[in-house]
Amino acid sequence: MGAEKPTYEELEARLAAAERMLNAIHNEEVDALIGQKGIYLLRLKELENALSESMERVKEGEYTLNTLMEYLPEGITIADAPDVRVRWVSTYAKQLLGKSSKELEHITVDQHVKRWNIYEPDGKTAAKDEDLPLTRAVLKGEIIKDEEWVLLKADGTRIPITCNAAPIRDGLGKIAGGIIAWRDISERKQIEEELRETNRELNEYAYALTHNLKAPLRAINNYTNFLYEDLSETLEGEPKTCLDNLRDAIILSNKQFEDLETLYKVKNHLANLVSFEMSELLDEIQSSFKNTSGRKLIIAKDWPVLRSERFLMRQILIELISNGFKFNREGIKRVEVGWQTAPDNRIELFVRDNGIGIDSQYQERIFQIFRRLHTDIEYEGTGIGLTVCQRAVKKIGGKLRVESSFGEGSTFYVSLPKTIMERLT
Amino acid sequence: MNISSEAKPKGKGLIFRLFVAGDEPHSKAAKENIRKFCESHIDEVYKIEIVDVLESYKTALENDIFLTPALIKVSPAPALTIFGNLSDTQALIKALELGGNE
Repeated sequence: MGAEKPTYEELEARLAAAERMLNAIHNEEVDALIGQKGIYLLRLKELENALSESMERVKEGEYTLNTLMEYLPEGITIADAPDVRVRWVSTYAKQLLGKSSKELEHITVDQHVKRWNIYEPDGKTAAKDEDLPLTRAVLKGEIIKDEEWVLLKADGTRIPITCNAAPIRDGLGKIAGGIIAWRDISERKQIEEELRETNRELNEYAYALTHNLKAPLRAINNYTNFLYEDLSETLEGEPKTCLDNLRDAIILSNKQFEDLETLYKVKNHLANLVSFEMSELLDEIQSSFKNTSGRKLIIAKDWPVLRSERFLMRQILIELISNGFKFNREGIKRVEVGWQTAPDNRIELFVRDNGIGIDSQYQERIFQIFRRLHTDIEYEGTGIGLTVCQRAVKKIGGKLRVESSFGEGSTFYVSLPKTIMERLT
Repeated sequence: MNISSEAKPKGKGLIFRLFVAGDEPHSKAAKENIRKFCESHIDEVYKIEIVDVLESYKTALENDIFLTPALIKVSPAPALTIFGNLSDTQALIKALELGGNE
């Protein structure tokens, strides 16, 4: 267009065109709008349909949520950000607590503890606002798994509960609210307590058994020995066999009792961490193994100072060394004791023998209580030893394993965290 | 896309330029309607240019077209623009006033 002023006709034409444009819009006869940045397709019918479809789905979602909240037998609470305002509480929750919607819903973060009567697991200390799982989920985006709390019912009864909570995020990842699901675990707690009680009783029984039968057993032992000494020369035939068998049986049951006692002691050993020199402990152990010809106990030279349970370490080493000599048919029975560093920040103590070895298919079985690979005729023993050992190793925070093959000797490794070493001598 | 009557290329004749948005309903109708209209109401030589704004967006802006469908009578002068699906034949006749000024 030039610099001249438009004529009247031109203006009229332009006005008419503009009117026509508006009419077309008015009559909805247009399908696209062309803007500076792009084209907008005016699919109004489609938009309308999409919108009503969305509305339908939202309604469906609401119905589903309603039904869930009504019938799910779980305590569920949904709250909105940013003030953790409670929006939904499941019917189950309200019934369980004997409280109404009015008391439990539409409350904000600072009212939760009071209205819901939430306590720490001890059942006595009131919870702190900021510690509550739903609050942490909404305000910090934390995901809480199986956390225990206690609720007080309207009638004053305490309900221990386990809680799982998570934040609810919108399409952009922003926290829109949070949801917590909690469950009454009073029954579970009761069962746990009963189990603890039963355990206690069993322990006491085991103690009583070993303790009280010790003396009578000793008496039986002694008198059998006297009989044996007096009569074994003169008796013959069946009575002699009887007496021999009696004596053997006594020896076996004595050993069994000793082992049971040790098992009990190890199981109930209270944590008693001390710093001790391994070389000292090993000297003690070495002197307890009589130096007979045909038995060689070789102990490495340099040992660290450990901070652990000395009693248990002693039991472990004695057991492993004894086994090394016991399951051994060589002319010269060799047992070596040493230690080395291991990957993953660990150290390993090892006890190596030149004994009969253990075939790989049996290597797991030997750790099972009372399981033996050989009968008593071949090697005496009651089969408690390695179980005690493993338990003791576990107690000092280690792992016990064996490397062996049939006929080729065995090496038992006690793997421990490096932190057990206080210093290298 | 062009629709022409079979006639001599002599003289300028009637030239229409129709702006459409792909196969949107009104655009589609407008294409049909202008063709039918020309067949039944125009004796002289005519030419219909179809411009798809979805492909020739710039052409639309150059012609100051903001809505589709939009029909421009390119020649003869005066130029004029009509919007909508062109289903109202009477309005079309009136607007085009084939024969020049009033």
